[in-house]
Amino acid sequence: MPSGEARVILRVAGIRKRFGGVTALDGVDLVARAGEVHGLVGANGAGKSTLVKIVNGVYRPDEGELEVDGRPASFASPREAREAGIAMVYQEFSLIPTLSVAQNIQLGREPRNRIGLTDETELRRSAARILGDLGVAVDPDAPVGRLPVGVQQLVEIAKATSVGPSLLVLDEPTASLSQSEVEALFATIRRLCERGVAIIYISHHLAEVRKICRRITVLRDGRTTLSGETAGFSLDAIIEAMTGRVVAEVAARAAPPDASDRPPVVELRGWSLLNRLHGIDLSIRPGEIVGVAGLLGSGRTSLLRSIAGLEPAVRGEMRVAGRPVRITSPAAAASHGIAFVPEDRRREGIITGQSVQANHLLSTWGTLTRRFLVDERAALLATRSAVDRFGIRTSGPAQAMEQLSGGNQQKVVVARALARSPSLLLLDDPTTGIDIASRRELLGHLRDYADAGGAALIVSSELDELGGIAGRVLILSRGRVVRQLDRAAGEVLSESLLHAALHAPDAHPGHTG
Amino acid sequence: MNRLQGTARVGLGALLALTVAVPTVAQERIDLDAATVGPSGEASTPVDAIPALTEEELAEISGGGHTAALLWAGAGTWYNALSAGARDAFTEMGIEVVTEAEANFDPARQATDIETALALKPDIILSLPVDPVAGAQAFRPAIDAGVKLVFVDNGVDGYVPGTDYVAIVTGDHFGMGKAAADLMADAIGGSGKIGVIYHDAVFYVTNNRDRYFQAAIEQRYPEIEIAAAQGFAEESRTQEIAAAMLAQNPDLAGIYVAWSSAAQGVIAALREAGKPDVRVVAYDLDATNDLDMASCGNMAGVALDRPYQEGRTMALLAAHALLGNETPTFVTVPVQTETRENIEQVWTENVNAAPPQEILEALAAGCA
Amino acid sequence: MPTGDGAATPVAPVRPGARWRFASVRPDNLIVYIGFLAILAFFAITLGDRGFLTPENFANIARQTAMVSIMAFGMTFVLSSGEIDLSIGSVVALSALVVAVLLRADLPIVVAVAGSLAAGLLVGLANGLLTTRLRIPSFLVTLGTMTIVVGAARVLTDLEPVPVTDRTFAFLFGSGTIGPVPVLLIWTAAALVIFHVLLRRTPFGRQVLATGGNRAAARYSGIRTDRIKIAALMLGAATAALAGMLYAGRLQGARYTLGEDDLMTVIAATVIGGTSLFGGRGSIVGALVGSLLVGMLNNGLLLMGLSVSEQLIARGAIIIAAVALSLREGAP
Repeated sequence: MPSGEARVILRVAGIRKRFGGVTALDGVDLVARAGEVHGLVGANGAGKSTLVKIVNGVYRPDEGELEVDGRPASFASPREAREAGIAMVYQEFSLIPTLSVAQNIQLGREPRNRIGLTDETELRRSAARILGDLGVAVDPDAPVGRLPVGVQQLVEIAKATSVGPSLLVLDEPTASLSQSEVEALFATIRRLCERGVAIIYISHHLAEVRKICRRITVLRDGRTTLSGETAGFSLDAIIEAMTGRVVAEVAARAAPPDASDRPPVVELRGWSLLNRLHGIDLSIRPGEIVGVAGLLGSGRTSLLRSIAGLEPAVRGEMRVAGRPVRITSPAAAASHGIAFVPEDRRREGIITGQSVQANHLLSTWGTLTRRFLVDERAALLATRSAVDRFGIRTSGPAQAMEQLSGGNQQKVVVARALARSPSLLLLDDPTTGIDIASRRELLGHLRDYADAGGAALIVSSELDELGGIAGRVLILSRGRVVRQLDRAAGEVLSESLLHAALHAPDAHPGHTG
Repeated sequence: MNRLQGTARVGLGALLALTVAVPTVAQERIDLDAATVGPSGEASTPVDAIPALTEEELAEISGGGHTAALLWAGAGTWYNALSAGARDAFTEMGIEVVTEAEANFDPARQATDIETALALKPDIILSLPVDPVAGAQAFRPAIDAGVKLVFVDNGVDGYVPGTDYVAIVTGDHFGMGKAAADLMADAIGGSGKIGVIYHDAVFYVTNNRDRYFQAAIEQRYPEIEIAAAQGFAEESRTQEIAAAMLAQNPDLAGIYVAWSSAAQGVIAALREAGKPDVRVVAYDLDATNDLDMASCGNMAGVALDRPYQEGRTMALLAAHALLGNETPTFVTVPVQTETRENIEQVWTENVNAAPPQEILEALAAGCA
Repeated sequence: MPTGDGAATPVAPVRPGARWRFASVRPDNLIVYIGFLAILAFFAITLGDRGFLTPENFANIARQTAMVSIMAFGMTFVLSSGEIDLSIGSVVALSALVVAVLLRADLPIVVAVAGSLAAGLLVGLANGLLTTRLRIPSFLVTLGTMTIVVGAARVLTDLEPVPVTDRTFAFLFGSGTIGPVPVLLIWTAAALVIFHVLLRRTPFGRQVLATGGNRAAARYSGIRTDRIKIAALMLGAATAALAGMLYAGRLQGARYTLGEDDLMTVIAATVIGGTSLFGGRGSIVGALVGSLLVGMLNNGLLLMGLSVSEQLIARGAIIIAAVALSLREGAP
């Protein structure tokens, strides 16, 4: 990235925007310079998307100044913004899966030959050139729908930059990307910076923002609460600017509590599932939080689901509290004190169209009865106390579930799982797509649960989080445990450790538990 | 009808300008005394005039290994009797019934039934065509295959009697309508208001009966006034219709219903409205209605044809055709009426059995 | 230790008594009730002189809608659980014939009723098992059982109708009145209370709604969704069996054609009343209002003197409008 003060591409000052009675932006300033990545950070509803929509020409500000390249600008439409050199890559891809990479990049602006038909050769050549400039290696003829998500993201960016913008806005570009794909994305971003493009980078992943963004602006409730060089701010300061409160990081316990006098909550021996798991041995004691790390396809979700009773074809021995059991359904798992928080919150976790209370008490209706009827008072109190205890931001138990933010929805799902006081809590990637404050709160509740004697098995792609909260981490590859990390022995999970474990030449399944 | 209703009616009527409406009241004056004639104008032959098979003919038919298919328009008590008559006659003649089907009043379904039946290569098809117009196309393959066709109640447009089909055996629908009018007049003492619940769909049998009933009432019984007339397509709605009729005409003396099973709902409505004296007239044998009749309830009488006899006659005509004998092409079964007085006799003649125990007990109990 | 949310989330205080009691009968679909009153008013004005506003007419409407209402209560459970039952019309015919045949055999009323109910429950159980064990959508399963059951009904008495002569049965199950109140109205009211409480106030009802709302979420939370669905389908079939017995009592006879036109009316009533076709949302009171709306519509159009064709068109148009308004109101 260029040093010193680069040329200002975009300057907004004192932007105000109201929708009816709601103030979305209340005096926002931002300066984006050429060749610089400027991170834009804030909780849901803080005003980020409204701000970029104004920059992009979708809205007009009620008050404030907007300058592009030193000249005042006012956009009546996204097209005018584009003509002024501003391009945006949205969270939802605008690519057409059935068309090729080249066709997508030049969509609507295909080069034509003499008779007016598309010049395929030129199409391919110019697309290859654009991709090459960005350092993206992909066949221009490949149908976009078949490409991995990370590559699609790069194609999306190539499409946006093909018009040669001076400012590029990226909205949550790493939402569906794996670690290596994120690296490829960052490489492309750096290339763009070298070309002098200014970039505004919107993301919830503060770690990434701190890595790639030279400057950062934090919005909260429509105002700028923090702005300046990223390196000058601590993570906690950024979080506080986002949320207005101090949410401390969940510290790991030095050593797991001594529970050797009690039987393990769950034990697996020779646990196998065709094509997914191969002879896994596992033992979890009360009060332990065990993490599971691995790439997609490693069997980590299958492991959780099979313990939760969702894989009837699983083989092997399982003991709960010392007694052998055979769990063939989630209901059976629940009766043995096992609760499961699924990966896909929207499809498997929440019931849209129903209230917070209905979602919370899903598994406990049977216990809230008085003379065979539901005790409405007890139900209301139960949900209210859960709302308080878990810090769920909602107008009340009657609020429609879909109106809550992702983080709060997940809190309801976790509260539901804990409502039955399980002895083992299974969590599959519980913090994906959730804002940082809610994540920390959730992990804090998980820590409380473990302190009270509960056991947990948690799968996560957020390696830092996992390493922080889990006393033990199992690294899975192709259905086997290839490495176990013990915090007490000083082994802390990290990106490089994971990478090493997965590619070690003599990685062999060790004994665990 | 006030203006609001009138406007609503006009509006809906305009919408329905394209629909085909069934004339509910005879547009031209019906000649009640005209004799019943067939579709090509042929005179009708009474059913008793069909000669039985001679001994040699019987032997010839029995040894021929012939088969027959029965393809009806609908199902129910009446069809059961029809089919029983045909089957009994076929059994006596050594003809095997290879398949029986009913089309639920759907012409497309009947066309499929015919195709399926033809796969079994029957020599005879007995049928009640659902739709005389659609039937022309549907039955053509049977004619081409040389199958002997005998129809009941409905004919098929454009078919040549004797060549395309053997004969039509029919109840006397015109006569049944007239007989129903006579029954009604008897039941209510010759004068008073009645309601008419007719069949609002294109079906030759019911349309003729309904028309002739209304014409007979108008021409022969001027003292009887048709105070309300409402059509139905779904049988289950006659109860609501009767209830509405009674609400708007509390002084009805009698109600006419297009057929028996539809009358059951009417009787229930009368019971609920507390009207034990309103008389109901309909058609065809039905155990439940006959029980009401026997118990001195609302049911006053029904006009009948003779489905069992019609079935037998159809089979007989088909056999004659197989033997190469010439037969009359339009055969009618005389009308019969059933009231409380002759329930037993009618059952014995038509169903070949005594009426159910409940009916006999009710008859024995007498009226209070 | 992470702090909870310091700033208290604004939550209204719990006022015991009135608040929670009324919450359970809060109407989901205000528009349906308004529509019902609008149609009532329209007919009252235009048909006041043609017998619409008489007590007899209202008693008629109450009687005519009783069977549909009761079946709509059952269908509410089935739809709420995320399934559908197309076989209810056939179950009506079967159960009516079964009770009539058993009564004719001089068995006591209790036995006849139990036998008829058992026949219905058996069909419901079959529907439930085929749907949950074989994983065939209930739409297809009940399409099949619809035909099988009506076939069984036809075979049972070879298409012959069976009269019902037991006066007590006829009185209790359809024809009787207690004072000015038809027995059918009492049945409807009793079913209304029972099913409403079952759906809104019992854990079972909540689990039904959860199962229909998101089967995976419900299942993962330990709800035995298969059993819930089977129970809901059996409940639906039971209401159809009861309707069949009421038909037999009201008509004092049973025949295989009973109930053949009821399926669409029941579904229309249930959906108009606010129950979602996709599961997770259901209203028993709404189903009653939907049924009364359709019944009143039929009655009013009849009293207006419209021909069958005119009635069908008007009925269809109004029902489409009612369902469209109902769906829009309920959409999140």
